[in-house]
Amino acid sequence: MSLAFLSACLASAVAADPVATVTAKEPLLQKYCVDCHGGSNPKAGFHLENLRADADDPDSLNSWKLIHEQLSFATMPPKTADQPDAADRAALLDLSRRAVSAGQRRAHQADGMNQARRLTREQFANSLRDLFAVPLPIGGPKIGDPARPTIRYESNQSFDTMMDNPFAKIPEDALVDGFNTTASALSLSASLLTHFENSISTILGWADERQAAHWRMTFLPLGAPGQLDAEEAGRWQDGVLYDLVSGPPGTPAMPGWRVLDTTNRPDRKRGIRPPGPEPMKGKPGKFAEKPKSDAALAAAGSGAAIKPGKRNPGPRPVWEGAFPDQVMGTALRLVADNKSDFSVSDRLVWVIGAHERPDQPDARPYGRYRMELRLKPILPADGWAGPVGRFRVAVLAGGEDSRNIYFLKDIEIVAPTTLTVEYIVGPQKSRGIIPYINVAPPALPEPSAGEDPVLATARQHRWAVDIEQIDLTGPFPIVPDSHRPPLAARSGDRTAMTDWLRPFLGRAWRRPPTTAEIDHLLDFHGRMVTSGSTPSEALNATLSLALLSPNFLYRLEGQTPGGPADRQLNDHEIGARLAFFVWSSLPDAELLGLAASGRLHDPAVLRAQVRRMLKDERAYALVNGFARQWLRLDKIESAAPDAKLYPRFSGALGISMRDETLAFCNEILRGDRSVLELLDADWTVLDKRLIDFYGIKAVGPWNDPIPPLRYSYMDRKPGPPSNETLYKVPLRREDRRGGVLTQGSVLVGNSKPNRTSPIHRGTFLLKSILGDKLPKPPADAGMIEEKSPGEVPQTLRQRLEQHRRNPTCNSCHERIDPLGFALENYDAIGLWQDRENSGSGDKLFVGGKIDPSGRLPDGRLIKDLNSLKGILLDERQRFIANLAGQMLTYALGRQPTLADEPEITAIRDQVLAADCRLSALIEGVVVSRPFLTK
Amino acid sequence: MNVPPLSRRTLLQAAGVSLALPFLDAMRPLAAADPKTAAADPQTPATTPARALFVYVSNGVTNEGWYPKATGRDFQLAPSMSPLADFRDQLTVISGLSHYKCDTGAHTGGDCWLTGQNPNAGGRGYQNGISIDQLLADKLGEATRLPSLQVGRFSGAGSPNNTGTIAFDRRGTPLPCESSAKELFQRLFVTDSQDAIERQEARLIQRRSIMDELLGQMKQLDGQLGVADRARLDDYLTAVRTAEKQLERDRSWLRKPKPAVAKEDAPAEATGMPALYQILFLAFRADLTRIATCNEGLEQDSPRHQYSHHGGREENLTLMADLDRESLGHLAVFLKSLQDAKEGDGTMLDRTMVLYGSSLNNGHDFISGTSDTHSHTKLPLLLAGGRGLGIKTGQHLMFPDDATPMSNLFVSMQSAMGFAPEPFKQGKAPLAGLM
Repeated sequence: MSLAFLSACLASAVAADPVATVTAKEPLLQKYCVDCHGGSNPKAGFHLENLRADADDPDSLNSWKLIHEQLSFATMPPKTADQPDAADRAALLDLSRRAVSAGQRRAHQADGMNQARRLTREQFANSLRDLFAVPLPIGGPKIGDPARPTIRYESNQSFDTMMDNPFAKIPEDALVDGFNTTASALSLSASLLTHFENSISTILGWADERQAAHWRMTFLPLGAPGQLDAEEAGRWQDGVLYDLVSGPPGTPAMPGWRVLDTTNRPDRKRGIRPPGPEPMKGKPGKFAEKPKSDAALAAAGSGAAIKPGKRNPGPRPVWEGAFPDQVMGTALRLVADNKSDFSVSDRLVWVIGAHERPDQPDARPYGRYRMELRLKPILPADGWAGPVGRFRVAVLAGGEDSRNIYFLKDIEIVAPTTLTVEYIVGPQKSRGIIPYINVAPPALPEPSAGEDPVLATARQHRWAVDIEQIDLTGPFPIVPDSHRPPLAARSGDRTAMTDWLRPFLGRAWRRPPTTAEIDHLLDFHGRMVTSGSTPSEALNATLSLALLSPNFLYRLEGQTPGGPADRQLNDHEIGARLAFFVWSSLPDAELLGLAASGRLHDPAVLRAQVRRMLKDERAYALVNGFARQWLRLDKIESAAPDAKLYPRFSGALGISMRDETLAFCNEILRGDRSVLELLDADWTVLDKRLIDFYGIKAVGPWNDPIPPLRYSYMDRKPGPPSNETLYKVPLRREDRRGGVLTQGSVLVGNSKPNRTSPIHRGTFLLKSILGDKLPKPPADAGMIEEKSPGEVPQTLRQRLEQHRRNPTCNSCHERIDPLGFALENYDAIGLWQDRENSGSGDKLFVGGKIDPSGRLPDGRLIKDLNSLKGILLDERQRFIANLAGQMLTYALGRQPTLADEPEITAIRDQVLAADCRLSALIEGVVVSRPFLTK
Repeated sequence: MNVPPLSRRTLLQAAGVSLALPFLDAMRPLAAADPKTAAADPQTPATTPARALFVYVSNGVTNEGWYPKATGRDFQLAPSMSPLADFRDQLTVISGLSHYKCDTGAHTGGDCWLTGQNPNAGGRGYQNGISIDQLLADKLGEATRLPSLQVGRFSGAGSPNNTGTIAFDRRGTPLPCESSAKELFQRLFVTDSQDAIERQEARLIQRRSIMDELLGQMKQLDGQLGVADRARLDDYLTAVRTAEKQLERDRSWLRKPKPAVAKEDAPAEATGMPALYQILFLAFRADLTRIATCNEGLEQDSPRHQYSHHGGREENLTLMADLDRESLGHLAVFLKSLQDAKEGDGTMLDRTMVLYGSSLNNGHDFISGTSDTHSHTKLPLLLAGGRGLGIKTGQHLMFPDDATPMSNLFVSMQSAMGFAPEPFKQGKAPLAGLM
């Protein structure tokens, strides 16, 4: 290769970009590289003569990148060749860095660095949730994990629901470059497009008009059926009279919902249900004695003459226990019994009714329902001596996969009152939805002798409440009126459609639509009507069109012809980037307003918006998206320590470990705490399972649980931690925990099934925490030998040291191993160990004493875990720069380039100057040049 | 290899005799399983389809129970395969094949079993490619109502590297499984009301209009895009066009009657392997599709996963072997249904290839040893049926040299299905001795 040629290339780079002042050192390439990578048979097919410093040539840019990478990994020149001295290596690195950086700058200016990219599954789902104000479960069921809830639900709605997940069929987006937001991986196939189309169509159906009816359920005295006439008997069922109060023509007299006075908890010992056909599949309660025959009951005077009707009402049997849960006289009486051994909950749940689904899918009564319950607590005035309990109302639905979601509303009831519950019955799979009443009894005195038997039972069972009447209204459309097209638009009025479409498209497309675009959609609407659709169907088709267009499905930026030369994004594009970054969803009204008034690119405005957005519940998406992926929490979700060797580990424990880290990160976010707490903290967030497992002597007060990460109806219950509540727990020194490195999620996620893995842990520290890049291990790297049974136990350290005798291995392992060994005091399931325990065959060997020390390549000594943390805190500059780079990767859908490095340094310095607060990091990312340019 | 179907006219001419000649199975398009419909349309070209089913079992098998000791024609079934004893002559046990480039060390089994590629190869993350079943479905074109069918014990697509499906389209997008045999039966075999059909048709037309419109819009957008963006949106355009074609296909089938299936043929259970096998059998018999995949479990699904890290422990190996036998027992029932169903002068089994196996091996050299990890070499594979497609059944094919890619089998399967074989991933040649 001619030197002159290379010089000329480099010189032209200089001329094109003053950054690339690569002139003096090019003989270095000549000296160290051309012998192999020149001539007629260049090694690895990599020829330096093809190299030009011209950024318009992507091949050259890639070649420079490769050169830079090989130099920085010190994999080139190979160990067998002449090695550059320190000065030469630095000069070579500098040369290649400048060439790459200049090239990237120019590529950026020419075409932008960020490609158009489709929304991720989460962004798509969240966007529809916000567009239609529907509480949507996010993400499909994770299969193969019994402990994982089906539904991850995040919403600030005032009600909650179980619904069929319209996104269940959309496959998860893969992690590429560590994140699922990576643009180049977000491809679209026909099957995916079809899944998107189906989701959209489902949700649009939820906005369709529904004709609501109003039914009333009245509880009758036991003898009542005898007094009913034939027509009424047809509306009578198990002690309840169903009335249609109002409704559109053709509304059935029975609401398709009926009262059940049984519990569906199979672990409930005393659940009792009335006779008659079994109302739901499930385990009925235990009959204390067999129901007496009709004749016997009639003879006893408790029976009633049987009237004709759809159902044979039948007499009630006598139950053991003086005060069963059943229809009592004129009310449905629910009695709390905290003697039941609830494993999930120490509260009791009564299923008070269920929606029944006809088999015909089109006739399902799906929609939004409102239920008013007239409640009368048993009070001191009734002879009640104890304190008044608290009500919790939950809505539960049993779906086919039987995982449930609950809504809670704590209400203390001291007088007769009417409670309104709104809930949604999903249209698809679930068999029934069951509004619950849940009574939370306070501690009460034991009953005294000679007390009224009914009250004694009530006292013994702690608490009781009567439901006197139930009013049910529905179905209403699931999408609230505020987010549905008004009737005029539905009936095809062009002006009304335009008026509704304009703001709708503005939100969906993250920018105001042009008049031409609206006209185009309306023309489509017109053609659909002409070809036979109703105006309402045509409107749904039009909305589908708008939501399947790249304007919604893709993030398109900087496509204005003749846009600014610096590829600056416009305000609407900035708003979209911001919202998708922090919320994984669409910009809200405030962001859209600021964008419309042209103020959003102002850094001060942006910073203020970031602070506002972080206070919103939607910001949990940063934890669930960014932190979860950055810390590779998928590894703990699939971790499978050998059950024989580590019987204390279970799937549920793994989930608790994942949730510890998620909740820990969420607390840093909510409290705007220092990101250095990720490395070391004197607190963490634990549920009872982990408090016990870690052996932490946690003390209360337990009155401020952490907001739920997932919904279970025990969320945020004040009181001691349970397996379902998470608490912030102070850590003492002897607990030997603090920071993500000591959390089970990281320790177990980076272990082997039968032993720890200092290599995985060290690699995690090096790459995810410190941001070092490591070359792929060579193909012939070999494996660490596993111990064979009977072998004299040798520590893992000894075995690894053998591996490191190979100099090829050592170049990486001298960096990895000391970091990993510092965590060796935590075993494969994250418990503290002083001596190495690891499995071989089905035996757990307790081996040599753990030596957590090691020496870094630069000579620094790591004595133990604490000194590792000290070193990491000393390296905070690297840690924060890495965090900024990772966040940019997540936000931009691409890895930062060398040209972005000055920006990352600037973010780092801002964070350091702001006590390392998390908000400073996020603000820094948002006001950086890469974030604000295409 | 592919026996050309007989046309009724040919037979009539050859026989020169009575019109009372029975309407032979081989002349009947199975899509119209109702004889009345079929007889009413003698012009329909008669076909005897070739079919392929791929059944994935996670985490490998207990090797000792799996591999026959002898190779060639005189092999004896090993203990785990005892449920298949009646089908010994219909089986081809294939040992020693590997997915070499898939060895990622991770539990990436089902992800690469039919794609023959390591989805984590790029070093940047997960990217899979087309699976052989989808390649075959593409080649088959529009012969059947469904291009292919994906069923599994779990519904959905799972997660990358712990996949819930073994089928991947051209873009490497996982095609989710359906797990409810009840719903599948309803959708595939229960006749919709006229009303429902009309609503489905209206919706198909509506969706078709939307796709048309999207294509039109893209032309407007095109001029405003940079090079990289245009590449991304080409992806979008292709997806829209393909989806549009699928809509066309759905519509062309909409008013054709669904195949008649007797009520007692409906699966007894709503879910589970026997029920899914029954659906697959009915779908094949009615020629609803000729390509299907069935994922029996996920790699990280216990208890198979737990037993597979056996560490040489007898207990684990035995438990795993029990599961293997149970799984093959379900397969045996399915094979029996195929064998009992006459088709032409043979049985459905003759023209159906059922590839059963795993993408992980928990041992080395065909024994389990003390291994505690999985590898992608020497995969346990079993091909059942396909005699009528040219498969030399009744033998144990052994590739001991550790140099034959499993994808060679996929090359051969293309031939067996009647297509000119093309290379598939590492598979550059047909599998020696198979056909």
